[in-house]
Amino acid sequence: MSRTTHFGFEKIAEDEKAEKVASVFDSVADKYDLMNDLMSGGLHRLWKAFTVAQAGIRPGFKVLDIAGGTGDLAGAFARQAGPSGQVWLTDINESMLRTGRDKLLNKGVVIPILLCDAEKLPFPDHYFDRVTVAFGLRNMTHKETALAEMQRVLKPGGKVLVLEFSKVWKPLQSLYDVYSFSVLPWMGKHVANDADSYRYLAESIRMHPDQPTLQRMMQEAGLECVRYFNLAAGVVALHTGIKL
Amino acid sequence: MKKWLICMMMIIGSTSMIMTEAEAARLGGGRTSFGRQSQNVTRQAPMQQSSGMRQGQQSQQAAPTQSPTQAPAPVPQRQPSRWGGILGGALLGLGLGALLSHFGIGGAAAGMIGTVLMVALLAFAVMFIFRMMRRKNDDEPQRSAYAGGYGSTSTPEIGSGLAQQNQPAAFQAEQPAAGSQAEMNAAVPWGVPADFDVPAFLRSAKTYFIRLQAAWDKADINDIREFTTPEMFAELRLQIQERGAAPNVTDVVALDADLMGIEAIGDEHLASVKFSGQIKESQSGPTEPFVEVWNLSRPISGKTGWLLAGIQQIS
Repeated sequence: MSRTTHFGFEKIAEDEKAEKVASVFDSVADKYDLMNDLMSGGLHRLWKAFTVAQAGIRPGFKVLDIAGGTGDLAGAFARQAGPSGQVWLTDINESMLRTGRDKLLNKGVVIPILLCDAEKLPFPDHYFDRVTVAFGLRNMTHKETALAEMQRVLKPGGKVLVLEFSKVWKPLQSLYDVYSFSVLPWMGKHVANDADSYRYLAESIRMHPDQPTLQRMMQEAGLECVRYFNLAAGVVALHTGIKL
Repeated sequence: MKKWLICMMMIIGSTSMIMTEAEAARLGGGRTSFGRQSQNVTRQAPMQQSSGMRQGQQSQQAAPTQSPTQAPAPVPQRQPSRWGGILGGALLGLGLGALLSHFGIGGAAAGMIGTVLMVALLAFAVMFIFRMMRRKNDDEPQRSAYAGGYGSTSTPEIGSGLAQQNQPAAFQAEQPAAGSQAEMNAAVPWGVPADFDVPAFLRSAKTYFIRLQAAWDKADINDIREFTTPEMFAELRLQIQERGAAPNVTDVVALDADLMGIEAIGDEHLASVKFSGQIKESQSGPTEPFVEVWNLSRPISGKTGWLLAGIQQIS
């Protein structure tokens, strides 16, 4: 109980975070896509499309989508990797994976789906051509461990892509604050009937490392050529790194 | 005269060639029924068309009974509808952003503009919520009102073919033949045991469908054998041989499954699953809507799993 970590703005014991995050996502799973559209004004689709473009999947690639939730990225990857490729959708949350599995089936995509902890990936070393995590790193208790795991399962020459909320451009900061601490929980309350989960979302975004910090963390995890792209003025950033 | 005849022969010959090529499509060819057929399916089709004529009174009554098994379906189906507006807005926003940075507006001015944009975004979001909430409130009455030719408030701009198929009843009443799918949705399934796990069954059925299409494309005889009855397998293998070595592409773009019913025939259960959605039958071809019924069979003793026993077209 000695070590603590962040859960939004709260400080909690490390071993409680996974459980608390799980309860947040259990409660938002079925409205997740709707809320994403609402909160980002549909922009999250563009951010994901950009990530998919940057991933540059080719037929036959092995791709791991960590914290893939409702399967937006994995679905796109599966079509690009084709029948000779392998796309794995993983998440630590069962409710999210269920939603994702059903959604992918409705789109005619059948891929292996796995419930697992990103800090202990059940894959051999040097296995994947691409490892992606979209809006998931923020919720992990030990981000360094998770990044190191991603680096481990990646083939030499493979690429890690981390899409995550980040530090917004200075002039927009105050407005962004109003939006995320008043409008978001209000939307959460009225649409998803769950204000707390969306307050956690806003807070966890604030506590997440900014662009240069995450860049450094990825370098420390053993990734090279780490760079980032700011999207929507830094509301979201895509970090990419290569294993050499 | 002779030349003219040869000319005609050639034209007829080439059109028939084109037609055979077009028929090299998804598993089962998509046009013919073969294998085990369910009498209930054939019986239901004409009955429902007539009910469509009568302004769908029957389906209106049937809708509530159907809704429990249908519950998860409407959400993914309606999803494409959100695309249009949002994507337009988002693109506009991006375009504006790019334009501004292109003209080199920075610093304080950018702050101002950023503020304005953010306010616009907020307004947009609020409007969006209201639309969403209104739609949510309308959801229940809408479902039964579909049949009565209501439908006008239900976001007519929706683009996806899937949503269209499921939607307007007014349209359905005008062309009952084309609207058969929506009517089928409202039908009561026959003979499904109360403790039967319908969602799980439909999930596996969808997996079967997608997997068999993939096996069909690759002419993977072994995989097809694993999921089909011996009779069906023999038929499919024949079709693959006829097809020859030409590569086949079947891309399932959207898939929905409905359990129409389960019946006991002899020592077997026969489950009829109606698949609908969007399918692409060639690499560069158009995405086309499809509806067909797959009959899956399993011995009543339950020794083996469900196998594809027949494909049935409803038209």
